[in-house]
Amino acid sequence: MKHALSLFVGLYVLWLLLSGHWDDPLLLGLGVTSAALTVFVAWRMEGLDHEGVPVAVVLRALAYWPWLLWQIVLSNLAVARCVLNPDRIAPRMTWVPVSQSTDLGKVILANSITLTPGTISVQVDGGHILVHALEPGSIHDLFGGEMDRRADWVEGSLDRPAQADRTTDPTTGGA
Amino acid sequence: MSLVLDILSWALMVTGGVFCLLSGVGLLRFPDVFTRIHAASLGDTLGAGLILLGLLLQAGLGADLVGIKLVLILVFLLFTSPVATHALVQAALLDGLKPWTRDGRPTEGSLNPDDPAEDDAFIRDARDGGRR
Repeated sequence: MKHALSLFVGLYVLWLLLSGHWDDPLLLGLGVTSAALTVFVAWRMEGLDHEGVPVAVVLRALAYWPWLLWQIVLSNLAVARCVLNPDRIAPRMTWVPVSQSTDLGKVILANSITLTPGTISVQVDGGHILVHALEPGSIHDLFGGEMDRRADWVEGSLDRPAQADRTTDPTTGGA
Repeated sequence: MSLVLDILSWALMVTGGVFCLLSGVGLLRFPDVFTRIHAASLGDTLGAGLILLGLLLQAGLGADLVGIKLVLILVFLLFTSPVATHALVQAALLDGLKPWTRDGRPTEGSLNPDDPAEDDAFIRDARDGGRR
């Protein structure tokens, strides 16, 4: 119910922002209808859960974005340097350990890795992500675990299955 | 004031254009599909982002909500482009392409096409479809 309601509110706000009609009751009513229809279809497709409508992580994700955008700018500059001097590139592909325990947390981290130019997440398998990197340095950064820690913080607002080694320091490799 | 905004938005748009250009140059200069995808993501992120930011300064929020639509374009772009990149790289690996390395040796981590997702019908289809 929580997910259906938040999806409806989100869709209707989006509809209002895109249409810009504030005062015509007919159009507003049609907007309500289409938003409700979409929620119904999502419910029929069994997409109304914490993964389909991740309301729990929205606030922390918004706080995570500025840092992520800054990382995107930095890695853009690094890749631009490589374009101007292709001798710099030394691609590597390797499995990087991650500490996320939920699927949504792994998706957040993997998407962040792919979004920063110079690193692409290829496959997720258990506690590891296969990463292809343009420069060895970006792999070192991932092993450093800064992005992992921050994605972990975003994931922290979810109910996670209990894990015994939750307290291990991610800098030592975690898993 | 409008002059300052104009100069700022032009600077942003030109910088974004430069990143798109660099992305194209990288696409030509890099050795294989995996490194070229890295080059392509340059235009997807900072290239598109800076151009949209410049346009945002030109449009303002306005009565017709153009600014919000520009921001939404950027948000949707940031959500969808990693998915496409990920799918492309995995398709290339499943099809048997070997990533280029500087010393010519295979990479330390790899996707074993016969192992990890034998139960995943989608990946199985993709792989068998590639062999047919």
